Amino acid sequence: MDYAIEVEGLTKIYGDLKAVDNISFKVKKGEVFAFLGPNGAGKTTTVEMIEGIRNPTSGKIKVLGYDISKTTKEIKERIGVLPQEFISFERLTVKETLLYFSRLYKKRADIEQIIDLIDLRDKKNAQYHTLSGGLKQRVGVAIALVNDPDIVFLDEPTTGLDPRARRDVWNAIAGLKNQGKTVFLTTHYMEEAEYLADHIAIIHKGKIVAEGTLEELINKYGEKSKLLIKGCKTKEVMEVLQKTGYDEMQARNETVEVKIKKREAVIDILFHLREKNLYYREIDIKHSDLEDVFLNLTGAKLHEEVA
Amino acid sequence: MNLKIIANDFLASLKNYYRSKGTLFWSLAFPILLILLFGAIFSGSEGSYTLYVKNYDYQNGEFIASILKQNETGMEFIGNFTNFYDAIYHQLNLTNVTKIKIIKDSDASNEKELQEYIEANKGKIKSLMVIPKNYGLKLGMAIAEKNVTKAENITLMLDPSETQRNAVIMAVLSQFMNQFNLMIAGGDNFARFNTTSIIQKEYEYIDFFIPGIIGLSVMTTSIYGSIERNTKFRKNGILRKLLTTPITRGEWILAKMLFMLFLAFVSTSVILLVGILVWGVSVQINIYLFILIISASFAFSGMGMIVTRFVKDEETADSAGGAITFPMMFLAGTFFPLEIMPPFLQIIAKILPLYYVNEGLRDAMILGDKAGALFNSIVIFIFAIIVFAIGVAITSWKEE
Repeated sequence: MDYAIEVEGLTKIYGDLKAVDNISFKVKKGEVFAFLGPNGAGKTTTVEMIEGIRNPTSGKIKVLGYDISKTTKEIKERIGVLPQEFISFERLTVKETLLYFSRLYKKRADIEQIIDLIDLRDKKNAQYHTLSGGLKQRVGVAIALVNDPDIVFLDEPTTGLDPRARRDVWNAIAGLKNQGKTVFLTTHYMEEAEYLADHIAIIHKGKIVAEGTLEELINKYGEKSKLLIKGCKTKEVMEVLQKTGYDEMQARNETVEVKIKKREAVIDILFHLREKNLYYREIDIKHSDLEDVFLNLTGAKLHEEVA
Repeated sequence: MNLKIIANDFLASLKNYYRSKGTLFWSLAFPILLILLFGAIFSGSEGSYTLYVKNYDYQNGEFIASILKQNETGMEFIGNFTNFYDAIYHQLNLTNVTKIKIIKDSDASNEKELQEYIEANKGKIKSLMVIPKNYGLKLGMAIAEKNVTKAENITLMLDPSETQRNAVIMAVLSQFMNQFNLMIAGGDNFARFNTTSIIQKEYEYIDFFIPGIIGLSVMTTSIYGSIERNTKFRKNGILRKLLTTPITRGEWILAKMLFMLFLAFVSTSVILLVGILVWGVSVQINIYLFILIISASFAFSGMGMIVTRFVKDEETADSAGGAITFPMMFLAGTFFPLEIMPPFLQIIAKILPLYYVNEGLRDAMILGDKAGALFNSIVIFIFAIIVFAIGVAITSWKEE
């Protein structure tokens, strides 16, 4: 049994809306699997169906080899969930919160170890409502670990956090992977998927539009890398580049943007510019990212908000 | 059912509860403030005393008036009234110390009905003047024959515990009769009264109020507790989280209900303690008290569940809770007796569950009315089973 989660033909219909439209995927044991998509794409609906919070309209879900429509008790003992926008009991301390949830399970992880793993030692005796947003989310991640689960589900664990708090949560999640846990992550932040995920599924309007490792996705759906030559005489630079065989380019203000296939092309271009005594203020290389992948796949932006 | 899980949840609820000063205030300090406040307001002396009158001789009043009007002094006494007794009521009301309240024939037309009427208005009727049939005629004959013994007595029934009140009423009445005797009969004691006691235990307002505040406290704790669990915990993802853990909905509900019962008994004890220590209320603790409080906790928790089935938003659900608890608080006899409300409101009160809780608690704790306590316990017990079952059935942790 190599797969932690197997989903086949999963569909969820609300009235006329197909929130999740016949999706199938598999999550390998021990990997961080990211479900990436904009708000309303169907991420949470999907993950909540796998967690048993919602009933699917149709489709099959297997978690750790068990069919979730038949076996729930065993699965519940072996998964840990951080629901979307989770807020715990306000007046319990961090430690009491972890103890509360751990006592619901037969198998219990060492609370002190979790506190250290998620870096909550200083806040162990602080009441939950006094914690910052980032700390609350880390407590949420810690709660998802109290039963030493095989699979950890994290539904948008960093939404609404500032960049630093987000980084702290990422470190906590990266720590899980080192422990050999399977992590199922939903997010609409491409940096999050890029930073954490071994395997990424891009979901848009209820459908998985692409799936693979970060590299696979960018190679297949991303743009070529671009070399940006800033602060130069654009006309002359473009002439030189055209003569040396680069034709995908455009000029803006004092910057020339040229698409390149390989890293070596950078050296080639710079050599030709020097040969012709063409000067530039600075150069920049822009690699394609998941944002480009998503744009190319769907024609839409991943999200509008500024992180 | 895993008892350890239930105990775990109970303890977590307890910690979450006593660490919240707001919750502590509203669930414990507030009812105590109410008891102290209302007890103080209503323990003061009244401005005027209501003197109930049962007149078996009213229909002869006009005839007596017509005779009295034949001489000058009689004319003066009767004034513009056409009925002798109306003139008497008027004079007594003029004192500003007593206020006459007539018991109508439709309420009581003979001794037996009068006793029942007194029984039904326990605690309200503290002084009652009974004028026997043909009183006026015999009085007239006695005066005409100048034979004092032929005149009958008016009976004044008094609540023996109300010494101050009784003294005032007796003073007013004897002064009135002296004047009457002087005016009409030249000073002899033709008009006179004897006193008897109204056989009933006397209740203070606080005796009435303590069971009411217990009912109120159990109601608000249960309804709002249940609303919080089903809206805030849903919004915060706690219910979704629990759904992914091994705790069952049955264990969770049982743990929460045990906690609700614990709170109900804590606040009941505190309220009773203050009532006993500060106001000297004497209460009886019996099985009905427990049945009523347990049933009420389940009934009102069930009502909260039903509310949150339809109103999912926390604030809106709180308002909906208020829309249920507020009218009940005022109409179901928490702060004042039902009898002082207009009849149509009394009918409405009788469809409110809190009414049966309040009545039952009063019967059980204060009045010692076992039959009443049993009846009200049965009503609220059956109501609790139905409402709680509906609440549990329609509340789901699962999302759509």
